[in-house]
Amino acid sequence: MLPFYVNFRPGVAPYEEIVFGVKKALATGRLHAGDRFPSVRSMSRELKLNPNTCQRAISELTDEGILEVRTGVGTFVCERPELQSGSAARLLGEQIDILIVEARQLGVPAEELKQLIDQAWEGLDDSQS
Amino acid sequence: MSEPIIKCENLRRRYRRHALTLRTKPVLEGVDLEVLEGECYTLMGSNGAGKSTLIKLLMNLIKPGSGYAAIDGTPCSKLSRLDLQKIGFVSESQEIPEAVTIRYWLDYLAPFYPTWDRDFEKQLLKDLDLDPRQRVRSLSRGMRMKLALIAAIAYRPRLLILDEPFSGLDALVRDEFISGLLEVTNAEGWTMFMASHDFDEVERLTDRLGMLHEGRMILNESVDDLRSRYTRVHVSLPESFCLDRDKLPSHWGDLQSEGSELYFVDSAFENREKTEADINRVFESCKRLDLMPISLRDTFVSIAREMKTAKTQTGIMS
Repeated sequence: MLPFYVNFRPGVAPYEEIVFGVKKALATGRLHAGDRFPSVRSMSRELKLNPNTCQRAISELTDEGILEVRTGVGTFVCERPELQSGSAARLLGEQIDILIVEARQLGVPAEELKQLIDQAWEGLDDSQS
Repeated sequence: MSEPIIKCENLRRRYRRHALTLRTKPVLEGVDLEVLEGECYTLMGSNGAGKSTLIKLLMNLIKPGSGYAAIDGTPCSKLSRLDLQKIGFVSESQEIPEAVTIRYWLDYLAPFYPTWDRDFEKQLLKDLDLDPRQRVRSLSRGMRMKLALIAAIAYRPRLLILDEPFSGLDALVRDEFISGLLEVTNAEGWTMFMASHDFDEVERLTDRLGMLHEGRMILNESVDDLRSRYTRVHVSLPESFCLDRDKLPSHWGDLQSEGSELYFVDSAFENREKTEADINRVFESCKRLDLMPISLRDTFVSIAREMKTAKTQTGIMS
């Protein structure tokens, strides 16, 4: 059993789905700093996925500072670095722009969008299967 | 990377049109192919595109008309028993004697392969849920394919060649089959070459993809590159327009229009800005632009449809 859930959708690279699944598991507290991360082998076996793809997901997560590979020991979840002021805007700005553009296009008022975000924020912990 | 484990250069092969004639018809018309060690390469293409012919050439079941095909540096027509002990082969229509039991069949095969691993065989039988006491006669298609897989990987080959391994298997058997495949990849890091139509499985397993069309390779690239290069586009234009294909970029395929709406598949997608600039160049303005990821299946259909359109057009001209 993997400590994260991956949902494969057509047209999206499987390694990106793994990266997202891991981030979601961290956000909802299913994965914690210091946890041992599954090996390429067990990920490949559980997800029925090419091991090269699993390796790529681990490299991606390592590059982003989420995982740390300790040679000969295994792969572990890193401590989350302190978020510096202003970096939230840099990290999330683009996604927020996309969301706002879509909302305006559909005629969703700002208040309703904020409400929806609040609901989704609360609901994230329950949505993990 | 090291030398490719499979290498084909300008491979050609013709078949007789039917048994009573000397007239022949080309099946492979100059195929170039390289499969690197450690990757999973999938060959796709419509029925009759030449996939099985190519695999038979690689396994030395038929001889090429001309050109070069080699596995691990040895020309395929000179593959010895020693070379074949390093290759696992599963074809769609595997022939296994009907009267014997699974146990008997595996016992018969094992001595041919010095590297046959009895413990691995036992584990595979268990993982793939096969009872060695059963007779081959009583096995379903899925069970036969699983047995064929065990017989092809129990000696831990360096290269596995599969011809339509998933066709006709139910979802559960597919899952078990893939688990079996991954058992070997994970342990040995071997190479896999398969012909398949099953997009779900192909997407999960493949590193690089080739597409055969009428005996030629029309595509050969990594699945990730292919995925980022193809995007479905939906444009709303300010007013109705007339579609003039000659004025449109050649990388717009699978065009459909209705009133002021235009749908197409962009096969040279880089980013939203570039696609928007392309659209503005042709139509001057666009009201709304939607980009959607496209599945491997739809990419394949889009390419196949383009090839068909291209053929009809040249047909009209000639």
